[in-house]
Amino acid sequence: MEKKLFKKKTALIMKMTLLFILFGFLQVTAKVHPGTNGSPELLMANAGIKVTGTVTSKSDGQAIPGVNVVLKGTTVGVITNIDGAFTLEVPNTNAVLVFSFVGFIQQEIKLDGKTQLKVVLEEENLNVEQVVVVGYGTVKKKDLTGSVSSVSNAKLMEKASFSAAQALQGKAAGVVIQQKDSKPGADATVMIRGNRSLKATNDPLYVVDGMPLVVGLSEISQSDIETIDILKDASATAIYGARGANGVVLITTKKGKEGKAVVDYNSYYGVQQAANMVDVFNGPEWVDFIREAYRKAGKLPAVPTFDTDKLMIPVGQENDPAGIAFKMQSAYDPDGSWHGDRLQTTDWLGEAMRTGTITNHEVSIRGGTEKLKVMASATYFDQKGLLKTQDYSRYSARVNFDWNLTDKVTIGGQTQFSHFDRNDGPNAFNDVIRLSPLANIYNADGVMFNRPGNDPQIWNPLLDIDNAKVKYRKDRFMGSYYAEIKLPFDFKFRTNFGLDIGPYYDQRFYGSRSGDRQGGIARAENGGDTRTMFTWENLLFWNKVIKKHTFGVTMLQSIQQEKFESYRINVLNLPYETQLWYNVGSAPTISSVASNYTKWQLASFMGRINYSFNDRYLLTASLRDDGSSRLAEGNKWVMFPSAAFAWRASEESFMKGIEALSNLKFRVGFGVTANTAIDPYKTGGNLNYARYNYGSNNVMAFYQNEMPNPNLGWETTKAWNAGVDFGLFNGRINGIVDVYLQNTSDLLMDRQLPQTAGFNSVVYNIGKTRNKGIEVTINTQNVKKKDFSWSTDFIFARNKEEIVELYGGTKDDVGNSWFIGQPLSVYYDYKALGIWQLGEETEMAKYGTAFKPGDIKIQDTNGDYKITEADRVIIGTQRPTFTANIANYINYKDFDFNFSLNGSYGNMLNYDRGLSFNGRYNSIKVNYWKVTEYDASGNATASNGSNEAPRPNNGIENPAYRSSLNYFEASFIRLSDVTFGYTLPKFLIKKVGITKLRLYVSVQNGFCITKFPGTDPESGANFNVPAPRTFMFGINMSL
Amino acid sequence: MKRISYFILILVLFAATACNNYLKEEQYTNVGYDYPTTKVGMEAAVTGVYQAMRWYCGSYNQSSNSTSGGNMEAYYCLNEYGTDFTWEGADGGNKDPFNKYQSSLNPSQDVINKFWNNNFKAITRANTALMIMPDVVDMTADQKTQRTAELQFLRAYYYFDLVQHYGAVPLVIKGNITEVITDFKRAPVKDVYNQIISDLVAAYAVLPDVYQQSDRGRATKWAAGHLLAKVYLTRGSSDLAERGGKATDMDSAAFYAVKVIDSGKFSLENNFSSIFDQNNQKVSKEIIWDVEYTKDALFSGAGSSTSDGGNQLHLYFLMQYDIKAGMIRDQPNGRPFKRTRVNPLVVTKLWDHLNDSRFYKTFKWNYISNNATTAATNVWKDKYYYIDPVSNSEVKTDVIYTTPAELVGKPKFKPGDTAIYISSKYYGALSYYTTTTPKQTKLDDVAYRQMLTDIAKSPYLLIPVDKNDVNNFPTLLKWLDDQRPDINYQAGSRNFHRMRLADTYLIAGEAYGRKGDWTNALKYINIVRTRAAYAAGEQKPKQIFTLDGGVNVTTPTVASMQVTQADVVKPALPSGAGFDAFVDWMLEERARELYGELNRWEDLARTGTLIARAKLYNPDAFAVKDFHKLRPIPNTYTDRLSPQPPMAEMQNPGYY
Repeated sequence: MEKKLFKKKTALIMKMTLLFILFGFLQVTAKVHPGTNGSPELLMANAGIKVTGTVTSKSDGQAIPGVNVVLKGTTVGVITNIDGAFTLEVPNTNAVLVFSFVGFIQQEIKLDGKTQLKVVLEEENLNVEQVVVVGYGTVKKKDLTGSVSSVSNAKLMEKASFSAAQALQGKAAGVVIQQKDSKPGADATVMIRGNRSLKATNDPLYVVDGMPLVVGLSEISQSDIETIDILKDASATAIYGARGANGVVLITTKKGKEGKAVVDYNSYYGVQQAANMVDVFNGPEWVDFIREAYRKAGKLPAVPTFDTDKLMIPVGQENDPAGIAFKMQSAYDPDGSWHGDRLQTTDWLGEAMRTGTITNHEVSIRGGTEKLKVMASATYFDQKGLLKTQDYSRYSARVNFDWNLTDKVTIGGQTQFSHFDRNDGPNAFNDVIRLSPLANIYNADGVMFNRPGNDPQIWNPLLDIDNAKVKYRKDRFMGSYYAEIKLPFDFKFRTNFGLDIGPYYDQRFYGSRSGDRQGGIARAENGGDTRTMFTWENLLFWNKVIKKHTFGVTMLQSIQQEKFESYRINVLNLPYETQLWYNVGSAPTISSVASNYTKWQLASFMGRINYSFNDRYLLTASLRDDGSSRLAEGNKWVMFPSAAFAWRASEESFMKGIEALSNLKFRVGFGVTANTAIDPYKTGGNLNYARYNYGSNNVMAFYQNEMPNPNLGWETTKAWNAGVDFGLFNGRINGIVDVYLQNTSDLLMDRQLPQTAGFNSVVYNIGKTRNKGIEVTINTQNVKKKDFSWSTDFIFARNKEEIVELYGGTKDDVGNSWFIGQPLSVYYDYKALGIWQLGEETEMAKYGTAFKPGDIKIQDTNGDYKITEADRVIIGTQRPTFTANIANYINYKDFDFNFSLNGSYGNMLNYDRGLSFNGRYNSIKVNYWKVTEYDASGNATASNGSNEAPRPNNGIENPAYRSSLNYFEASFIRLSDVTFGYTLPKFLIKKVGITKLRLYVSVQNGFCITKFPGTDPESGANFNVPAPRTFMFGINMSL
Repeated sequence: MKRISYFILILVLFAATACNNYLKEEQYTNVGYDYPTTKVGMEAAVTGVYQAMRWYCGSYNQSSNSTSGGNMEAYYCLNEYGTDFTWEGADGGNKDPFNKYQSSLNPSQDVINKFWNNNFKAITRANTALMIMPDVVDMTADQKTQRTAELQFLRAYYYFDLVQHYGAVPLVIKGNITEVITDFKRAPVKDVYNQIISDLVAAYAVLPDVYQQSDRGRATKWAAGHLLAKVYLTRGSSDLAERGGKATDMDSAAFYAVKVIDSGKFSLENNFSSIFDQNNQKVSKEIIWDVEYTKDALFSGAGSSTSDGGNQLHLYFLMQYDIKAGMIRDQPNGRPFKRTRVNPLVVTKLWDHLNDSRFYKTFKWNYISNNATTAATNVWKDKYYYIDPVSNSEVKTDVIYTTPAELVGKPKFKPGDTAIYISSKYYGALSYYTTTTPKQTKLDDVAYRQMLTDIAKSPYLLIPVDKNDVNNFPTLLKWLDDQRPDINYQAGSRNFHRMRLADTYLIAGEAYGRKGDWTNALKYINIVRTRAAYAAGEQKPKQIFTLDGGVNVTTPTVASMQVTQADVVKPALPSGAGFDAFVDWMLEERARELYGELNRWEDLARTGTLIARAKLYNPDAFAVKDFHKLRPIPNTYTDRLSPQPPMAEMQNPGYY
């Protein structure tokens, strides 16, 4: 029903759009505007009145050299000098001068008799003239036909971010960036327009200066990035064919500029604290909690005494001064009265955590001559995490150059080397939660206990700080190089060669006293991998303007290859713990050893045509043919077509009269893309190995692992997109609205087989998913005065992802929690209605003996008075109904202030609080169901009536249906960033040779309004390292 | 500068023509289905079928590279829990439904699913190897015949385990690696038995007598013979119509068992303890067939995602000794997971304490203090009081024992002294502790006071049978593995004994007994019991003359251990109504010999006594119903069938 409705709606929207386009087309056929295509040759004026003036920039009042000053309607003009001054002779004083300069809004000034002019040019802000990078080329924003979000360096640098991905958060509609893990060095996940694949990655393709990356962009410094352009719809991504289904993130790094060398230095330092911590029971609360568990099991009377308390404590520890029993005894007075407040509470987390710090230095130099332009930069980043075992540091260096060898030949390239070093030691949170708050960390001699509180199941997690090390290191070399040759007849040839090579080291050591070894023999792991990828592209361009027809043709031939090699050895029984993983050969026992190698190749041909008529009707069509080594012989090549049409309605003469409308464009596009869901060597099937021994004879075993499947093909997505771009009130309000529909078919899934078939599953093209949604981006310039400006960016995105078909039918796959009509990840479980209360015994009795007061009350969905698997329901989804973001930018004189709020609505999280309710371990503090009164025979007569958590029970390790209490709504609004900056006045800094100096303070993750009870609705899915709040101080300086 | 342009263009053209075979997939690391067509590949494929045997006592999906992680804990759930003589211990996630027959023992239970999957994995591996066997180019016909027989043996073994637990199962006996098949039907139980027997008979005909050490662990003729005997015994033990039992089954069982016994290849160990002596495991002549392990961590399955986690049985049968005063967890004593405990009634009554050496040799009775710190703080109090059995609190007005003044405040023992003593004595003071009735009731105040006094007076921690609970009970010695490299190391290297000669004798004894041939029955049973007796000159355990009323002599007890026809119909434990006395006695004798060797559930199911005996002897298993004699068919299997047969065909009754 709903599906049909949507189809109707979509159809309606599309019909309307087409009608609009047709209507416009008819209007235009007659009227033709005199175009100003091409750039005028600048000639000196012949004679007349001399006009002089200066041109300055609105934002900083600085003179702008190089501005074109042209007498309107002619090719007569000059360029401003280094001080922004110009002199031009005009025929009369009524002449109109046109001032234009890249990056500024063109201005026309009528002389009206004046001969002295002071011209202030305003920087472009999301202006239609902006150039946007699309795959294999650039177009002016006004000529875009697809859905592309473009984020400039200025936007990225508005706040200090920990990574380029994070900087992108909230900057582009339909692009959801989540920091799911708060560990230092953890990558943010980037999702464009929802998820569509069940098996393959839903990560977008990253392309840096034309070179596709192997993995994300975490090693690229924010300040090296000129723009990030995100191709969202298939008409734009189809030129990436077999890799384009999840959207494409195009990163353009900064280029050298002709002129004096400019040095930029950006730096910040910040301190981090947990934004929100989750409490565990403290000492006296814990005692109450475990007593309740023992009472539930019938092992403890209503009124405890020390003798009965002792039952809860490991035997034989009564006399141990560090033991828990000893402490509990101290809370009893001789008269037997209990004084829980005397009990200490050990701050386990306090011992494992610290104040985090974050440091960043980025320095770059840009300059060059007409022939050779160079940009070089270096970055150092360091983060000490909130946990003592976790930190991350990275440095990188980059050199970009463009060299015009001749008029016809240009070569250039970008090269980056980076290195990171990450300590990802054991996460104390996992274990600390279970520790008794009464247990001591250290013994009387200041040595850490191995087993605090003598619990044989708990090894002191704090010992891991010094005894376990997990270290990841990576060197990464990224380079892309090109040569471009201008050929006759408006042809241009370009060849690109890109490399992405990254050796990665994953090394681990677990000393005898680590939690992993628990007093056993030390072990070490030494492993790593190397990915080597190259891309080679040959492109032929033809750009031609014939009267009102503009043609742009792009042809591509490319090959790509990726090799992956890995190795790992695990050894036991190191002779010296100090050698960590550095000398595995000295250990007597090898417990596992492995290596691997995979390689795949992709060959592609692509053609694209951009055609525009009269600057109004824009058509883009492309066809890509991809051949992949991963597919079986005979199925290797797949075609990916796309087409898009745009109509710049505001250029129509009948629209020119509408003052309020400065820009209006309609776009519609369609394209086919695919997803690389098939791993290399999948189609041929394979055997796996294991090891065995006959007597003393060690042997290998090989057994069937994957079924040969020569028919595997790509997952393909066919997507429609329709959009409108508009500008109102002279560009004071700019907006983009896109609606889209993506149908993914031939979905690759592990088709589950009965084991009797010989295989548990086989990869198969079965199933369909659909994503549909709307994205709105609005930028408003609320106030625009000389000393005061205020602008707002507003982003809203709504995406509905759903599974349409599975295994060629409409049967749900309960085992994988895949349901037709539902998003790709839903929570399917028993639904908790609360806790069974005293007085509900009659109702409980209908379920036999299954429930007692204090147990979790589960929804009996089918009403058969039995709780079975059939009672499980879909509880919610991780996917938000919508996400929204508002950012405000306020400038007052030399002060700037900006803040952004981002939010998400309708998503749910599985937050496993690890409610271990057996009266032994500590737990996240919850209001558990507790008996408050007993009658004479020890039966419960009153309770605290809690509906939040069940009664603890010493007899059972986990409460029945515990997982039903794990689902929480995770909608939130977050003040993700507040920055307050001050730019020092020029006169103060000019003397010391500084052209710009801005100081700022910033708070990241200022607050978060949410009902979610964990530490953070994005990253707090478990009792884990909390999301930090960061206070930082920074500096931006130019020399 | 034009030259540069030409140079680039030429380079491009040259390179573009050079990639004709560019999209060919180059495989270096992938091992494909052509590998088993070579001899070495086929040998590895056969080993792959053996290797699945390790699932029974290892881990299924090792979640990390750690040598300590990823334990599945499957097989004790399937074969010890929910029986008569094994109760559940304190810890473990998989345990409850199996011991208590709760509703969570249902088609989605994980162990139920993985047991099914493991065995069908193994069976389909065997089928694939059998399918490819004719194509192997460099094996002789003899080699092929032998490996084929091994594969048939293994297929029969896996099917036998499946049919005992699940009843009717699909009979898949053809290899397949290319077709997606989802249409399976369960074959009747009797067809499964026929297939098992036909595979085993074929294997028995051609398998060799014995192997060199380098092939130890492969199926021999006698392994096939032992299994045949057991299969016939099982088929003929009960539910004859269902299983297709024949009148001659007992003859067949006895025939093959005697063939194995008379083969001359095997002999009983002289001392019961030697069977489980880890240094003896690869040479013992009592072992007919083992699942092999090694101390080489790389091959024992210690640590990678594809490995099986070694033999982890050493974890499950231990009491919690390590937190007691004067004790710390150490390597020889083991890592106590305390998943299972022995039924206290069994400790008290099953064995003849005085004469049957298996009793004291099956369990560990005392722990020697190894922790100076806690030994030092464990001091004598001046007075020990009566403990109220209801509230467990001391009654300060009622002194049970006053410590001699010179001892008060002094440590009770030093490192090297006994710290814990598990007594085999049952005072009759308290009712048994079970997880469903943890409140022990006082049965007899005099006995209770005597017990408290004995405990108070003991310098060590005294745990009589009355005080056995989920943490405190006699530890089973059979699977302890003190050759692990450290105390927490899980991937043990003990061989998993699956067939030993004593079992063959008991099969022969039972088969003859069921036929009424008492002469032969008693002959074979008494051979086992003779070995079970204390041998001449053997030092007897102290308990015999301190607790059991025996005397400290080294005279043999062989004569006292011999049973007559009258004895074998007198079970030691109180028996239930309608029980067959000989079957009961036989089940008790099997427990005396084989306790904890992971065959109990199958023995009870085989004899059709599971439900009655579990109800009678395992108070936690009160929810057991008749349908529990079969396991549920896992829903990960039934859900994937297409077309879907009716539920009654797919699932065992009681589970839907």
